[in-house]
Amino acid sequence: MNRLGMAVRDYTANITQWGLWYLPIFALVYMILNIFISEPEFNRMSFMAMALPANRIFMMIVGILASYVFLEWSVNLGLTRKIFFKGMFAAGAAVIIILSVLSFVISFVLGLMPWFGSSLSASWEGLGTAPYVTGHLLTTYLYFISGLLISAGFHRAFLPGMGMILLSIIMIGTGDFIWGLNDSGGVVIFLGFEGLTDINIGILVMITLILIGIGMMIFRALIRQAPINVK
Amino acid sequence: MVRTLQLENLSLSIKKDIVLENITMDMEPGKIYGLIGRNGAGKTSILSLIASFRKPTAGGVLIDGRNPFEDEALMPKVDFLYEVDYSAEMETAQDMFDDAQRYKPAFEMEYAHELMDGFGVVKDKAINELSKGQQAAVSATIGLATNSPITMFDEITNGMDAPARKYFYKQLLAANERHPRIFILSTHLVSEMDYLFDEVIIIHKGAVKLQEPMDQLLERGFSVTGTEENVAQFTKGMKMLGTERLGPTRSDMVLGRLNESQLMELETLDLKISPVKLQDLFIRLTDEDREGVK
Repeated sequence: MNRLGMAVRDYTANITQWGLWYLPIFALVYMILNIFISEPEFNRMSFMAMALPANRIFMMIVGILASYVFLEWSVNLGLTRKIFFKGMFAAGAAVIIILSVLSFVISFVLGLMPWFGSSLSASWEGLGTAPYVTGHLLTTYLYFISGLLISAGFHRAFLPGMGMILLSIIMIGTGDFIWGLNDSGGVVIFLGFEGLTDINIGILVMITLILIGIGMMIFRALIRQAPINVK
Repeated sequence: MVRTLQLENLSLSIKKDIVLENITMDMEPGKIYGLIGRNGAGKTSILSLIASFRKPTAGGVLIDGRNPFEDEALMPKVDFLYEVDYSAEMETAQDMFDDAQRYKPAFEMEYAHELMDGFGVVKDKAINELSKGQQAAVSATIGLATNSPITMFDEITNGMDAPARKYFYKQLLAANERHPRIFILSTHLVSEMDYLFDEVIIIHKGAVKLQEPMDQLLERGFSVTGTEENVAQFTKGMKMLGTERLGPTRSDMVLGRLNESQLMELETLDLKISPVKLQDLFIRLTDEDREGVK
């Protein structure tokens, strides 16, 4: 296996380990909430409907932590920043898929029990599974990139970090808006947009990919010569 | 295998601070280089540039004539071990060795285990549960066992107790015999480690004050010890590095070499001569209140 492959495997394994702590805890919270909260709409919601938005926040935190944890580790082991960049993007995608699959499996198992719901979020009902999954995977990736941008920005200095927070809000807000992901709250609900989910899904995918591409380019520029601080 | 490591007019500025200015030096395998300097002199910055942790503002680092920064083939050939805050690190030493083995092709696992036994440190315990000295031993083990052509230790013995330091020094010399490479040791423990150095590089205020083979450097000066009057008479007019007194005995550290007549005068005045110590030379060379050696 080449060095990039090894890096992807190691990043993925490490981040997945973090996910393996988070998902069971989140599942436990979901079960406890279902027992104690008696809201018909809430009780109808599947674990998947709750976990997917939460996965996005988790991936954003992973993105923020990644530069701090893995950049120094990588350069220390003789990996270039370019390998770190490529490895991080591949690992991010892999972890999102792994988390989504695990969320689905947990949701499926819980859905078999009479106490837990099996429906998706209200704002997504009627759209079908494909756009639902696509939208969530792509926007989760956008959250991950936003996390990477924020940490890479602060790695440089305070002002670039603040700039990246602003850019991330715009990117995430745009992603949520076009996919109509009101279930995550925040910017979209505040502005009262309903999203553009009635337009062709291909266009939505393309816009999201462009946003991801822009984020990747900025991240690459930020870490191209990023110093590793010792002491 | 690396044949040469060159720093050419290397400069580094961070924000408005000039950290390093016009650093030029050559290094070759099989030698242990002592990089010494006062706090904030720029030692760690030099090592960071060689390890591609930073990009120089001007000039360059050349490994066999090539810039290692972001070079996939050259970066793994450099190992930089420094004091790390492991308080949140739950990996074991063995996990770290496994990482090193995957990414550093010359890493020897068996040798790493031998070294850990020698240090008396367990390899299956979370590193944040080890003492500071034991953590330093893990870093030292990684540095020695990776067999990287350029291995740099920055204050790596901090926290180690005396037996562990002694064991490390012994293993360092042995490692250089087994796999000759460029070792760079940055340290404040000058008097304890000077016997390890083949060459000494003194950094002062971001510039190279001197780079010389150890034996030549120690020939630059001498210490004369005897009675107060005789020593004062003998060293009158000589370039002094310093004076120490203990009761009626005086010891002057002097720069320069002795001629035949001076050697005879030593006997007449019943004075004892000894080589100057690297630590004393270092202190005088970097002492702001005194005139240094050019």
